[in-house]
Amino acid sequence: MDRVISAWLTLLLGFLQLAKLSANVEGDALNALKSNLADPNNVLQSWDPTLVNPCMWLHVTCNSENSVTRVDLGNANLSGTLVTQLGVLSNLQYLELYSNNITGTIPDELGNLNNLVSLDLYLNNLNGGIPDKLGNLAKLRFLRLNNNTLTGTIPVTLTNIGSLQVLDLSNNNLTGDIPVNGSFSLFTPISFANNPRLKALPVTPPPPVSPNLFGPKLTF
Amino acid sequence: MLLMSGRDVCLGVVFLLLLSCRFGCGVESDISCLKSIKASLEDPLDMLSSSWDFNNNTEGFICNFLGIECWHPHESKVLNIKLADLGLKGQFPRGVQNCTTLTGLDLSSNNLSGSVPDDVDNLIHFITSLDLSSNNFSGEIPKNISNCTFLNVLKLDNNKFSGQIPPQLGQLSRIKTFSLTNNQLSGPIPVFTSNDTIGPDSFANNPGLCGPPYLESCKASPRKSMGLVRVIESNGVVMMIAAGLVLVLLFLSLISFFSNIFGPIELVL
Repeated sequence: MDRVISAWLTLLLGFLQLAKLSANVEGDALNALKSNLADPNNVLQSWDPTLVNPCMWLHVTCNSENSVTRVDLGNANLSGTLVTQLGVLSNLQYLELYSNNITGTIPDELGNLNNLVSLDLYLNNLNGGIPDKLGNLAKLRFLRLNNNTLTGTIPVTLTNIGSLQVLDLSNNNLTGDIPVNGSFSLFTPISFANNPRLKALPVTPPPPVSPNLFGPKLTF
Repeated sequence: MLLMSGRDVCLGVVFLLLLSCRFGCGVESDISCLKSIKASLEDPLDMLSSSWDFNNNTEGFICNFLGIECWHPHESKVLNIKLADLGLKGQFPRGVQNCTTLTGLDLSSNNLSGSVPDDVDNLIHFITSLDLSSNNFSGEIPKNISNCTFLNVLKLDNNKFSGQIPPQLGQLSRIKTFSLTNNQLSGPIPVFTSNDTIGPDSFANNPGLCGPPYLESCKASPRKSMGLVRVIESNGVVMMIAAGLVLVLLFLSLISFFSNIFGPIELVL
């Protein structure tokens, strides 16, 4: 009987440790981000990695299971780079890092954020390409990467994101063609403006209007 | 060819937009756009008056207006205008032209009237979704709507649009939702070159519409083809000719009858 009880206790403790660990995984990821950022305004001052989870940190929002759903650090005078660890925030819905001075590239691992609804990295100094893996973000509604120095082509994988409503890739240094299929049917030259090396959307020549066999002959 | 110059005009418009505003004059023009819309529409239910307050102009303040969606929070660049079901009256608000980065306009279920401007393509060039349904719009559908090449959704149903549907509408290659039901349109349905989402439901309840693939072939309108054959086919004319022949025959038989009685008759004409 004692052995059974102690076995159950061990299991319970192990489970609690695991729970603590998983919450810490997210806290560790955000702490890695903090370590990579310069923060002259001290907006990350509350980010204490010794806490059991990051849910009490300012600018971090969690769900009822203490898993991070929002990171709101827009317009915070931050500089430095993003980190691959951001990809472990599996319940993250809003990643708001716009209007800072962040440099470096967009990590491929952001493509693992299956629940991401809004990815706002606009108005920074990001370089490199737009990762193809962002096409995996099946719930993404807002993708705003405008006003950076991104290069390379626009991944065709993005056209598979059926939920995409707002796309802004303007003011970068992208090259190649602009996709028009899939979700990109919704996007106009506004979304791609000021990419000097991007091939402009072709103005499709109107097909010749065939003679109207079914009614009065129309003349122009 | 007029079609070629139409394309050049379109390119010219885009080029001018490039030069002038680089796909968006941004903040100032969008604020004046909304001011103009508010001024031109009657708002009897006071739906706009409380939230469309232009006095407190902090950065991106219009993004909190009722029915306004911006490209980015805290920047006054209008993405969509959604003013459905607000009891609004008046005509199509031309001031929308100054919302240079507008992609969606929903004015459905109001009391708007008058016609859609002929130069609508200059007013909302980048529009992807245009919903004017359930209003009192009248007049013809302007053919220049076909220059709004980015249209995915075009809803004009439940209005009083009349005349023919511009055949150029068939050139809209991105159209996914298209509705003209419940209007007073007539003539042939346009041929849509590139999609399979348009069906008979798009055109229902327009008594004068005709043409394949969903409706009977259009009969040639008598106004347009006045061939002699058609005139003669008209029953009235046939009756008149028949009556005339009968009269002539009657006259000749009378003459022959009287000549039998009175001798040869000279007809002095």
